[in-house]
Amino acid sequence: MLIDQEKCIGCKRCVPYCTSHAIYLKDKKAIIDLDECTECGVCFRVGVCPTQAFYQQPLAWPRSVRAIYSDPLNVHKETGLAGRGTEEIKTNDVTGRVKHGFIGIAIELGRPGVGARMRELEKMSIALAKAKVYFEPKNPLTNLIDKETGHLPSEILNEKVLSAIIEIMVPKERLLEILKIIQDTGKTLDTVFSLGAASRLDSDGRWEGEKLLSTAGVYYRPNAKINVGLGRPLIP
Amino acid sequence: MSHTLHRQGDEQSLSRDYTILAMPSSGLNSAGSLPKLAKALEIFLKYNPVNIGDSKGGSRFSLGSDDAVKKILVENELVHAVYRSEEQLIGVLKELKEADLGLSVTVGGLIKKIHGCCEKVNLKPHTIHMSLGVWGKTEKLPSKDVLEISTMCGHHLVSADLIVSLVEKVKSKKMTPEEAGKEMARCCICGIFNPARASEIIEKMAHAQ
Repeated sequence: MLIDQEKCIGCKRCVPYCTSHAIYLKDKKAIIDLDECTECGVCFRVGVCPTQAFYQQPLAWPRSVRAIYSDPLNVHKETGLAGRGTEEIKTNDVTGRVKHGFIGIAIELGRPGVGARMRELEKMSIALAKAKVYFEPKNPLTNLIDKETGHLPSEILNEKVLSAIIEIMVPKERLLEILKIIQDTGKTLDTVFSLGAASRLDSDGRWEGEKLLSTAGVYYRPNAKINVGLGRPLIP
Repeated sequence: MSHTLHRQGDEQSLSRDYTILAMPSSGLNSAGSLPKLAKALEIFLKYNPVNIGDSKGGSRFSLGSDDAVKKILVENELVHAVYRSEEQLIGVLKELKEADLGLSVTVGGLIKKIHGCCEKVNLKPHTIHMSLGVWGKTEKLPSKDVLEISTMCGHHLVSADLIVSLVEKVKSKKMTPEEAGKEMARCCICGIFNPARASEIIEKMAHAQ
């Protein structure tokens, strides 16, 4: 994103809307620090500028990575969906993607609101590739990851995104082992990540990983999202 | 895409925050899904949601009206709504079940409350996505109050700086908490933000300072 310096009147109204603290004033004009900007598009879309000074410059590779993972209006060619991830559990009643006995794990680096360089994501993907996990093929990040080594293309490593999700699937017997790897790798990161675990519910409404986490003392929040089984044809 | 997961806050506050979304699965039951999505949105609207939106176009607040959201619906996408009570959620789930649209429906909120609502309309929950919290360099996070608001936009398009600046405006009576809630909701493009809950938190923050 750029600001037309001829149009900018230096009113500062746009500054707090930036999700990456990338807008600042210089010589009484607002400027965007392009190294920090994630191309999320909020400043442009909310129309806060009284002189319409914001404009979107063409985004070529590798800078385009920023918008792909930061602007939710981008539709990914891998998924056909807007946003940063996949249908995951939202359609699991018709896809059966998360099966009994397996746990889907979503590691969203940069969330909530801190942002992440792609090199931070690579630290996590390398650790997970070493553990021979299954990377969700429809996730828009997966096609960038070398599944053997976990490496990302070197030219994108400095790109900054609001967040991006690594989605994997493991047999439930490996859940605690993989969480330990994620936790240990997390200590090496210069950002945060939100962690989610998905599983089928049993007939008592309990999720298959719950007992494992409780036994291991792993915290989970009292709120979640639940697919209520209305999709058709239903995978029982 | 876990944009309805990871909302923060205590159980009292979260008990007034329920998200619901309906979608087909791409390539499986997405053909001909547009009228079903429109019907789901119509049902959502009957129960007075505090926000609605769709994943590819915008929300009540980013587009300016519910009619604008209806007009931009396209095949194979996702429609959302946000509610403040279990009663609303039960009504919506009951009607969605009766409509038998075949779309997948996912509800976000307190687990025990969602199970209770499903029980009341005889629905058997299928799959769950749990939040295991925030890990990594957590010292980079903003305050707890700010996170309670910002995590309601799962794409994190509501900045911490905006929240802090709106608290100041409410405190100095340049803006009401309700106006602040709507202003933040304009940033959340998909419409999953709860402006009513956000305005309550903003008001609390303004009074605490």
